[in-house]
Amino acid sequence: MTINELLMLTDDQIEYHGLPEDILKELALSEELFIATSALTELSIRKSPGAAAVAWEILSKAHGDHHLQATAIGVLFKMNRRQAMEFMRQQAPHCEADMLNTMMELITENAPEFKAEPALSIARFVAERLQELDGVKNQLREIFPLPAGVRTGVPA
Amino acid sequence: MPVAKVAIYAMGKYKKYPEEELRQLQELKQKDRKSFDADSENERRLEEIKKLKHNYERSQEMFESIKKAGMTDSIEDIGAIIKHLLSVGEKVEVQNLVKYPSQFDGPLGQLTVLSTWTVLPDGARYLSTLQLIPQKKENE
Repeated sequence: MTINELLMLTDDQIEYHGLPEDILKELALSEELFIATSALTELSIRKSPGAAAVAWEILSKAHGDHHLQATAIGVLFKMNRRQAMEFMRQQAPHCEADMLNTMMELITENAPEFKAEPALSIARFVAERLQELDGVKNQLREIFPLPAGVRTGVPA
Repeated sequence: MPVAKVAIYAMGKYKKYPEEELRQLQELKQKDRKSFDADSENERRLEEIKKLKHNYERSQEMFESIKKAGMTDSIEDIGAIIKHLLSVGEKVEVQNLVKYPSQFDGPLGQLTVLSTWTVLPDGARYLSTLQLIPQKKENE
């Protein structure tokens, strides 16, 4: 099957484990984000040497959406930890909440690896920024209080 | 027109991931890394479930956009979006196959539809990807 033929299918119609790596790489960089997420994951499960390069391309070009980018940082962390740490160090000061949450999930899941420098500083910085965002959220709540009895899905 | 990309992806119908299994695997990885690493199937399964979670959440977000525009997952609304996409497909040229933006008017608001098209050997256009972006309100 060609790339175009595969992209016409839905994610659940594709047997990713039977696809060659070159096809998976192209799918992972495609605009079809459901298929791209699955193809990138398959490359990672296979521990393909090209998985890190594809993940880096997604992250460096901010390709796709925050779900694909979250998958990419997880793959990069697994395949090229140094590059993933550098990406986190550079992005943490200004990235959006979705990416910060992804970084925090990665840090929590791999806590032992963030107990020594330089990873420890990155973990602290990510935590601080999330607290800041939470502080802004609380300030907004004070300025625009919710009517009694109304609850949001945001944890206190 | 791959109807499933509208009826499944856009309507929040992507199959839900096994939430409890994900929680258990993450907890094992965090608290007992040695046991987690002892079975390579654990990491493979964790990656697989995370992928399902991202695709499920993306599908849910697409459906939120649909709802914000005042539509539901009814056959009528799915039909209206497909009809819109078919009209877009007619305008698409070889030069603008990637992320063709169009506006869809729902009862409560507008939805930006980004569609990507493939030209088949017989010249027909085939929808390959679909993204939905809700129109931001001024105070958002």
